[in-house]
Amino acid sequence: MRNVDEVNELLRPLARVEPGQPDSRASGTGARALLASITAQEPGVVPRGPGRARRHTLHGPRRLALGVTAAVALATGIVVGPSLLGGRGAAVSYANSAMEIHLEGDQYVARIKDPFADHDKYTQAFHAVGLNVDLRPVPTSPNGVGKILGMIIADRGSSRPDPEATPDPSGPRFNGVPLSMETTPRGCQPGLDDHCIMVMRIPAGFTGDVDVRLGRQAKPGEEYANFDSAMAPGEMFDGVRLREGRPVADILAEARKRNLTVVFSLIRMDAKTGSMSSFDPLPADRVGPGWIVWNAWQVKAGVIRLLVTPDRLPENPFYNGSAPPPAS
Amino acid sequence: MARFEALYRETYDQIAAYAARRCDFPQDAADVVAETFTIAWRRVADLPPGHEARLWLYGVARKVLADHRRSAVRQRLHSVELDAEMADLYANSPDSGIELSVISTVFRSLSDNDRELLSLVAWEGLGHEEIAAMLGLSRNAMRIRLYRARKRFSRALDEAGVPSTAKSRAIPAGRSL
Repeated sequence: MRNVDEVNELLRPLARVEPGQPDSRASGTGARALLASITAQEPGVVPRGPGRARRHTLHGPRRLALGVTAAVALATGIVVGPSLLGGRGAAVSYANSAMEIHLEGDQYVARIKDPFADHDKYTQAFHAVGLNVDLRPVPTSPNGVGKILGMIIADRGSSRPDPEATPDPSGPRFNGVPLSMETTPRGCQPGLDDHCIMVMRIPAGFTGDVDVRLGRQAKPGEEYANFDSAMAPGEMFDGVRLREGRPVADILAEARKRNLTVVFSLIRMDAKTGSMSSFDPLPADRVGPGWIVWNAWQVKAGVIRLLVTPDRLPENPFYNGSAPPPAS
Repeated sequence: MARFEALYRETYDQIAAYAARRCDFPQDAADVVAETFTIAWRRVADLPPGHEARLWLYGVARKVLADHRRSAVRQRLHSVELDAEMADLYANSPDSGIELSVISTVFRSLSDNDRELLSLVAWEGLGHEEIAAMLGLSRNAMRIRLYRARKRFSRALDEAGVPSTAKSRAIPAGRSL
């Protein structure tokens, strides 16, 4: 058997905070605010236990004292009842620190409070109410925030989208109930604005699988998942038109006007099929001013990627049916 | 008031470290710290004198933590600054590496009680008497429990193929690579 010293020596490196090295975090802003908020209360109110204390403090003066920087949030695992309605044997309500989901009428309403949370937290909540929803918030430009960037609905059981003459922009419908996404307050930016919540509505009778990629505010330097929206309204290259292809020099001037950094990718064409086979990053010094720009992607805040060929092609390869045309 | 503030400043690091070493997420650790000191304030009249106050706080933190883990219904006070400061403590977390070491895995497989005893010695650096005071055990009972915890840990390490003494020391050192 290992002796005390050996055990200690094995365990010390596992400590998240290295033993024996206090460095006076009590003077940090958060620690000082906590002290102030605690001592703003009446001392000597003896709670019966920690659980009791927590509930008292949340509604007590501490909440007021921390008012500016603090918000009360629900955390981990609040499950309400087995469903009497759906008969799935699942809960009708679930909440964790990342999101909460409730049955409201004929829809499950999922409120995503923390768009930066671990993906598993969402899965856990959807599964708790018997929904197979795989929700992945992905970083986007401000305009992509709160929008569905991609949704795959797998038919299973009775869940098939209703046939539609014109697609409903808010999402497909199942038995007349839409599967939709929005932010509340309307138009707010999850991950950027405080108290901005993404709301996803799923028909209660839905039995299929949904994979959703949902835009959230990119952190500084984070690359955008909605890279192909560069020329859409409100985006970095709003108003730039590349349908017919334009010379690199023109587009560089445009980018300079907008204070954007430019990177390049070379479009390679497949001679046999006439469609694009790859996009290869290319150093700027290898791109001539007369090369042709066929498309622009937004890489991250302030950075645009131009997709170029050395020579003019007979047609814009992004519009020849081999790839979805760019958003504009 | 002055005494509580002094105690807070003296023990904040220790309680924060205690919570951070035991919570997977900084937000949870921030909750544990906030709640521990809130309880201490509410029971400021019960605070034991001198050095024992720290052990008493550890004991409160331990209960808060257990309650936190147990509790299915939980509300939390959320302070961005406190969370951020706590997250700093996690910055060099050994567990944030790609793989947990064998030792860590073995350690995590122990019971909560065993882990707590072993880490109070190894991480908080508490002596037998202090742990006994904190847990409200007789010194003898505590020694027996600690002995058994060490024995179980040692056996689990053997089963996981972690060699004793000389070689085992190379493993934790290698983790920082």
